[in-house]
Amino acid sequence: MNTLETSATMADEHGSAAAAADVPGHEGHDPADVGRFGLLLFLFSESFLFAAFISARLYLSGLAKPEHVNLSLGVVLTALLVASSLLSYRGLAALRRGDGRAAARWLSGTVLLGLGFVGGVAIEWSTAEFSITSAYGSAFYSVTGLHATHLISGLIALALGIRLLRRNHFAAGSTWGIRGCIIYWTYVDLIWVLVIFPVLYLL
Amino acid sequence: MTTVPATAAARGPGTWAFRWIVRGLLFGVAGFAIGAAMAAAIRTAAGAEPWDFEQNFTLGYMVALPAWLLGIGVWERWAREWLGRPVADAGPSDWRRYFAFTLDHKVIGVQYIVTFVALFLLAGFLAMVLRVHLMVADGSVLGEHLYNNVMGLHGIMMIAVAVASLAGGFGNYFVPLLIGARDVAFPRLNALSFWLVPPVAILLVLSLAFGGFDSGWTAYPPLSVRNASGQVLFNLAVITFGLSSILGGMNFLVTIHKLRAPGMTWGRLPIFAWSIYAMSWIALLFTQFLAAALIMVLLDRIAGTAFFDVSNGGAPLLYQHVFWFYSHPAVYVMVLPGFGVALEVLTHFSRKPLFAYRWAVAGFLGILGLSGVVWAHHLFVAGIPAELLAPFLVTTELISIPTGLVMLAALGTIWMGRLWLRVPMLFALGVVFSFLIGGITGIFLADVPTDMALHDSYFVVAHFHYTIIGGEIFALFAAIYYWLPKMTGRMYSERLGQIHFWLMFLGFNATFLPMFLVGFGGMNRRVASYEPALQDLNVLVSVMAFILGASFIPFVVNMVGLARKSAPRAVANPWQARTLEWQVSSPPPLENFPVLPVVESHPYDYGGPAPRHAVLPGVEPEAAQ
Amino acid sequence: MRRHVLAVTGLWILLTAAGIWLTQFELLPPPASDKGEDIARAFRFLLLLSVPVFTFVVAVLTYSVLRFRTRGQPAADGSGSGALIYGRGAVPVAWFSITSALALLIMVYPGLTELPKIAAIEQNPDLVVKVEAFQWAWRITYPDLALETTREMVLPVDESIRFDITSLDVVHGFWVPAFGMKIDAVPGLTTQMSIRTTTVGDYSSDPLFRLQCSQLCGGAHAVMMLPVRVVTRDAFDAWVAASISGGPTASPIAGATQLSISADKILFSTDRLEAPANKPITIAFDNQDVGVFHNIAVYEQGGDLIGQRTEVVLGPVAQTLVLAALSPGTYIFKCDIHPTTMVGTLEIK
Repeated sequence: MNTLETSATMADEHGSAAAAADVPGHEGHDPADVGRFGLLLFLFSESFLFAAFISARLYLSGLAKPEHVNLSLGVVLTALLVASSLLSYRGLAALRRGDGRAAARWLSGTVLLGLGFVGGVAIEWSTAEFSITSAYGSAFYSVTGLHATHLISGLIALALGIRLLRRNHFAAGSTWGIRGCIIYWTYVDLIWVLVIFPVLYLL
Repeated sequence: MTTVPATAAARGPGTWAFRWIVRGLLFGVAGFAIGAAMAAAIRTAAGAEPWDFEQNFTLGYMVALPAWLLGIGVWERWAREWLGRPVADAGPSDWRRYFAFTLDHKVIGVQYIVTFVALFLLAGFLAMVLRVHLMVADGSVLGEHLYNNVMGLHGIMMIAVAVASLAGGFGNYFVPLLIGARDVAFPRLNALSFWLVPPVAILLVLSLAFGGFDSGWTAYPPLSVRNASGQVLFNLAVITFGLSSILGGMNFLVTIHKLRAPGMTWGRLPIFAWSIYAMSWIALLFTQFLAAALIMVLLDRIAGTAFFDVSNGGAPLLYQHVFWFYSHPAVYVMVLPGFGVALEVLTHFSRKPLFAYRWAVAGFLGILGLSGVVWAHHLFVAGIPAELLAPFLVTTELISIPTGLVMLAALGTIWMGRLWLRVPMLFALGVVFSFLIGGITGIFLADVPTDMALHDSYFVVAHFHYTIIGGEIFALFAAIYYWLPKMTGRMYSERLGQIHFWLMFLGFNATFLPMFLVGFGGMNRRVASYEPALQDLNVLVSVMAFILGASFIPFVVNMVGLARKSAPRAVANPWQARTLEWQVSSPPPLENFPVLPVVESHPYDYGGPAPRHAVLPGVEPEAAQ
Repeated sequence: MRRHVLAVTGLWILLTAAGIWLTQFELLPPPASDKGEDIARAFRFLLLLSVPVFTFVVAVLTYSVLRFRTRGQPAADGSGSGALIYGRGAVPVAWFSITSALALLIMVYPGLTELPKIAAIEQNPDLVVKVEAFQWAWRITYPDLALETTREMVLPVDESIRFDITSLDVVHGFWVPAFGMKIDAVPGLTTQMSIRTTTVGDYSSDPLFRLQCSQLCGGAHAVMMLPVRVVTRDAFDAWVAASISGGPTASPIAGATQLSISADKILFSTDRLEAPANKPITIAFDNQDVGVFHNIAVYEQGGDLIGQRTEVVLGPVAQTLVLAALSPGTYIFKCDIHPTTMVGTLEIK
């Protein structure tokens, strides 16, 4: 059994499966192309999960929200996420240049900011002035909790990817695995910036 | 079944077939203990009693599920890679691979089919129990609580069968073959989707030990927020099943988009692949709403949210909207593959091109498009604002138009054909007849005025059994009898198959036609006892249901017979069909095709100018035999 | 080809005639309300329309199976030619147009034309009936008559009646089969249904005159049923008079132990009440929470309700719960709306 190219996301699976000697392959198909399409479909699907909870918030309490929503903390959280994504693109650029070590450094920055975001959500949860036992509170805690779960899985994936980058693991083969992680991270970022933050904090 | 190349010989431990499953279970139990202990620790830290069954169980299960998956084989075949290590173990490659985490889509297809046919027979047995119970009007046989639980279990198990048996089983086995691919796009994810299913079954059975779930498969809150703790297990089970369905749908979409053989244009895609394609979009997107609805109920129970708690600003109707936003499209997850199989079989056994192929595909896509905007017809009498009634009445009536196109394709195909009435063909014709009744009675439920009278009555019960049994179960058996020779390399007894069909077809209609009358008579659904005036009709329904149940005895005998050494062999192409799966040996080799096929023309061009659908370059046609 | 088309058309006409003849047998039971009659008419129309559709498919199916089948495997492929064999051109277009027209027809009638009539709610009905559903019984209140009952629902004939329906716990369904309509009873929501009764009837002679829960509500869902009587105005008035004079009144029970408890900020004032055994008990419950639903009810430790529960209503309001004598032991009292936070023990010594 040969060493396979690697990633922490599920979406790389086709590539490695094709490489395994005992697994049927797909000649003539680019594993990254197949993997990317699968990942995008999966993220499209996840959007429906968020949509369900967002519509619950709108259905239950319309546009009303409690007086004491911590908008400034929300802005800080948003800034953290945007910054983390920007760092991940620097990592992507480094990866394109073939500089795995630099990519690992940039992505470590992404992970640190991501951890900061998780910490911020923890502060938000412990200081929020509305109860989970209310229509808005139910939506707020479940949507932010759901998002944090996605974010933490992204963090784990990135951490595993960085570990492999440091070991120069991607030098030989496709870098699709780590690129998949970055696509996923971008999604987690976008859904916060474009949907969750406006709907929970601004509306 | 399949002989395996020597290079991929079984490696590693022992010869014990259940080794992987046992290890998965052990991992699962250990994971559960860790998760439950974590929950206890968190509760203690928060100053509460360490043990709250529903919270501890939920967290325990959230750890147990991945642990089970690692144990069943994800660790060797996948997770090691994340740590930069080579995947360690190819897993068994002889018959034991049917009990392991394997990547061959054909093995996974067989795993799905066997699991869900077994589940179908079990849920069917529960239906027999329900019909025994309903032979007396006063509900004394099982009692109310047990009846509600058995009824809910029958419901959710049959829903699972209808969702996954054709799509998961035959979709997995035959979509790659039909489109000329060596496997699905993500073989490991495919195995993962299947191995998510056993925990579902375990949870559903376990739930009975914790008071069961008396809210039926629809699990409406506030009832599902305040009933026995078995409801938590039900919710976790269905969320897990939903995840499996989502991943499966994604896999099919990528497979069909990216892995079609050269020349397999969209316009030449076999109709079964088209139906799986349309179905997959629904499974991929809408299933998330089912998960969301069930998660909300779970959060209301264990986290103190107030989604459905009226006194704190919640709204029970929210659940019904979110739930049916998935669960109506789910009907098409069930019947679209059924339509696909039926059209596939009808065209091969009529020896004619599939009539109005493009219109039928447009019908599938039309159903897909409309499926997301019809959900509220399940809420016509639920107390939704009156302004919502008219728009949903209109969209719901509209969906009969694309469904009508599928009907046109079926009728046009058999018209003036040369009908070869073998067992698969009989079942495919059964789909057309049964779904016709399901569709027409659906009109009465789509029109608000008549729905007001018929909603929640036995009319609905009869209607959806006609659509699901007609659209999915008959098609499932058409698929079994059509493709079994390909899968096993053996031929079943035609005579037993015919007996099965006629018993099932007559028993089915004799059961569910009188059930419409029961509904007109004012019997509401999901009741353990009913008005004595309706007892005679109910006894009739029960007796006919026993005939329907008995029809599966010849089926089981027939299947068991295939295991005999003396069972007749099937040739590579017993039906002389043109599609790709019949151009390889029975059963197909490990990587499906010796060389990738090149598709030259439409798959159903019987009697047309093109001599064949596809070629395997360099392989003589006889070699496949 | 022409021969086959003619034959199948003949078969279709024959089957359709037979189907139309069959529709003379009534499927829906005779309705006992004005809207039930509208619905029955709509049903009949749809039934008549579905006959030719059904028979068309059945005719093609049966004819094809009987006429085009082969013994053994067909020797040759295909039949017909060109557009006809592939299903291109006029046939699918015609099919699409006809099915679309049919769908449009039933959308307009009975769908959209009947819908406003069926869904209309009478603002000034002759009688308002308030219906409260809870696990697993019905409480019927006639607000204008200051009368409530959990034993039967009695209605006058030939009068317009509006039901204001709600639920105190889970989702239930309000369905009187004889009236031909139903609507769910949803907690936190008042749903309405207006009908005019047209026929007298009585559960004891016609089981369709019953108020049946139509939405699965757990345990005793099947027997969550209340007999319905539709009677003449005179009989109705007599029933009202008899119920008011002879029915249970709110007069205090002699010799009862009097307890009191209040609710404020979604909490009870105490989580422990005491009373002697073998004497009736009255609990005066003062709900001081403005705009919050509460009630009070007493349960066995095993969870079974003892006696009646008080009605779930918006505070501020005062209520009295009357209990029969209890044997010594520990019982649970709680607010059914807040069963986890508003709960306490009732000690009987």
